[in-house]
Amino acid sequence: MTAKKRRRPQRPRPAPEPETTQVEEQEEQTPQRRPFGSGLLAGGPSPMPPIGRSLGNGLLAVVSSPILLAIAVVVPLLAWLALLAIGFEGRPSLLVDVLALPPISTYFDLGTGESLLSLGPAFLVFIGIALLIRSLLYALLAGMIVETLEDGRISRWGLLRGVSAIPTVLAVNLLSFSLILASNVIFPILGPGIGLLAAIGSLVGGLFFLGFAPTAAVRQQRGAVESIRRSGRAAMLPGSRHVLFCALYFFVALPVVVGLAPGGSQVTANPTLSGWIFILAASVLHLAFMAALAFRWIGVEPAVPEEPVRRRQAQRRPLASRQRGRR
Amino acid sequence: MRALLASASMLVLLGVPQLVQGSATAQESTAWSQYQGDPAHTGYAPDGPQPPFRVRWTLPAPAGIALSGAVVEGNIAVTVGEEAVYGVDVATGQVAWQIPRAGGRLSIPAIGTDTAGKRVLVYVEGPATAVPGASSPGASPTSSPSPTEATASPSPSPSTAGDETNVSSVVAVALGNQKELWRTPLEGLSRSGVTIEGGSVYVGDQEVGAQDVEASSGRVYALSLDDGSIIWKQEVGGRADTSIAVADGNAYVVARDSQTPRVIIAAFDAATGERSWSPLSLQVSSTAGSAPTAGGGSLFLGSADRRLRALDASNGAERWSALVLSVFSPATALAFDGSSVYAADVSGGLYALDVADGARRWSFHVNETVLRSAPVVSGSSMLVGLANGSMVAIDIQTGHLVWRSPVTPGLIGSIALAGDTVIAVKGGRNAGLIAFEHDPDGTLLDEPSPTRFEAATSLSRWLIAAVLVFGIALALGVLAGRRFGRSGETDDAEVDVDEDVDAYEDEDAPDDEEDR
Repeated sequence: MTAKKRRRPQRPRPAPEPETTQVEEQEEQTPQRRPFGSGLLAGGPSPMPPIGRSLGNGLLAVVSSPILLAIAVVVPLLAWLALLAIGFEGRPSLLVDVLALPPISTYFDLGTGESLLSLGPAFLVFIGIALLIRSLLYALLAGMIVETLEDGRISRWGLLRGVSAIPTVLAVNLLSFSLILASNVIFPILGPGIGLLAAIGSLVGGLFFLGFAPTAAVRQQRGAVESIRRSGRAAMLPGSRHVLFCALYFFVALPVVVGLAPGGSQVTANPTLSGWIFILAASVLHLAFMAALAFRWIGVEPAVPEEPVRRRQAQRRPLASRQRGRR
Repeated sequence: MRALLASASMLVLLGVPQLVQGSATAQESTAWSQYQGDPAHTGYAPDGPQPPFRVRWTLPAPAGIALSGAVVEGNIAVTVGEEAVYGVDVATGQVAWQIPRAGGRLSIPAIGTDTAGKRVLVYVEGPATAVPGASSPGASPTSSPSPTEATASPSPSPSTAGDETNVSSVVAVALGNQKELWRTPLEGLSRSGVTIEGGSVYVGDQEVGAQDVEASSGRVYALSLDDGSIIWKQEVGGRADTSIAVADGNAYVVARDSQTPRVIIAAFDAATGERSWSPLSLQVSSTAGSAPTAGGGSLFLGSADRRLRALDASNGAERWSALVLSVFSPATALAFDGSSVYAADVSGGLYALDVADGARRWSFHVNETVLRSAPVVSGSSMLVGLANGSMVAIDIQTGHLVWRSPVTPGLIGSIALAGDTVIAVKGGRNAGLIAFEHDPDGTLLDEPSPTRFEAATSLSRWLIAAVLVFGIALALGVLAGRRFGRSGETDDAEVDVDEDVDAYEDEDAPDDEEDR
């Protein structure tokens, strides 16, 4: 595709007003058709692409882009060298999650920071710097991935769109950090069993509600708060099986990837060849999930409500009753 | 001339006792008379055996029941078993004598000299616990090289004090004939082991009834080595279950309160029991932490916040602290050779720190758990036992691994140095003692720590991995792109998405019409 043929970036498409009204009225009048939670686990007609198709397109977007692949193989090395330079001693197998989606990546930052500096002011400085670097990287990645999905190529325009999403990605990372801190304080009170489940649930929930925000920011060029709100609304759309997608990612990124990493508990500064292969492959996988999320957002974007559903219902209710009165 | 002679005679008068004292101290230091060799638990033997080593003998514990770490007096190593205390010939590994014991937690004994000049062995026993599969009290262990029946010397049967009550007792026997000299019951259960300094015996305990739960209180005792009478006794605010270090006239205790959880570090005047300084409380997430080690005017210990600390022994003020990779097992202590502090954390990180400021001189990671072995410095090597049943030696100048024993079933725990022999306790199924001696035909290694970055190795590995992953992924991408069309350029995706949206919206349409 030549530069001339390259499509201009899609403008946000506001949802058509009459159709939205129909959907609202439908929700209002026949609530039994969409019980609570139907959009979380249950399947059914949905504007969101299926999980398999999302993952396939995400993986294809990454492996067909030399730039994204290069990022996936270079970033783990740079991260490892940087950590060694500041005195880190630990397991290189941790690098399997260096490019993970937040909040798992936040766990990586917290773990390395705590191992390196213990808890204290220096730890907070480390976390702050790590979140800034990660936000910059992920915003640029979001821009590049979206452009790859849209045009099959990466240009400066994609990078610029990524730069505009930095505040949103930073907000997402800060929210993930706060979520983990809160879960570490609150959930231990619930005991080892329920507390653990609640902690896992909160992490899955974090990805569930925040996962679309970077793509939304890149595509719609809105502010951080609005992008995060839209991410949440998109996740709550019925029939998407989005919880299943997020749970699948957690299963892959934590027990599978971390558990299968070669030399998992070995402390060394020199990862083995098999260790590096696994780390780099895991990084490609994380980017594929990132691209899958972007693909799902692109699919669902036209159906994402402009305003929170409950607020709209509250605003529409008098109007609807007036219309009924006229009838 | 007279002045010169007077000065010379003064020097002689002042110097001779010091020489005698120094000689006695040196003699004491050659014996590994208690945990980590001496009352301060320095774990240092400047003339200790050097690697490479070979196994001299092994002594299986009777009926598979574990043995405590050993202490050494002359050619006899003493270890405590569930049902007996054993005297083992250092040269052959054969049991020379044994003293029946009324059960209780295994803890390391100590050997001291009473005011009559008699060598006295002090250990803790009771309360008796039923041990499945335990052999009868008369069973004698044999060493593997030349298994011969051990000769149990006539020794007094233990009194029933430890059996009938639910507390531990401190027992003293004459080392020469193994006759019981005295027995003093404590108020709680003891697993701290025994420390002897001068004419006093120091031992800690935890409250009774806390066998199954973590106790939150305990005491430290000072007993007379002559008759076992209690000189003083103090509450320490937690269970005193690690060995007590005694140095510079103070007894240092690390106690743990699992309820809080916190670790309490207390110092008492060794003679009177008065607190030397206010106890320090480390509020940490767990009570994992090492036993104290004293030396050079400092008190060293490792704690659950992954820090090695040096406290001013005179007032408890922190001199320095150093962060390490992991926490410390309560069954370990540090080693101190006068210029460096040596430590082993649970994850297998071994460290040498400058005693002045805590700066790390070197570190070595063995990538194996260190659960029950405190590092000891034998000459120019640091020895430590690992959970995989091997022992390693690190050169204390370079920090390189110079020797490692083969991996064997059962962990290696506390190490004692006896002249030219290293005696270590083994746990697990093959519990017992294992002795190493210098192997003149062995070869020394020179392995740097795996935590030292080797740029050429690491980068070449990464490069190969990167080429493989990049190449394979890109090839798959090209193939998939040909098969399915390049990602993003597919307007189909948008069409499909629009179809999905339409289907989603159409689903509502009939209902809407019905509603209307």
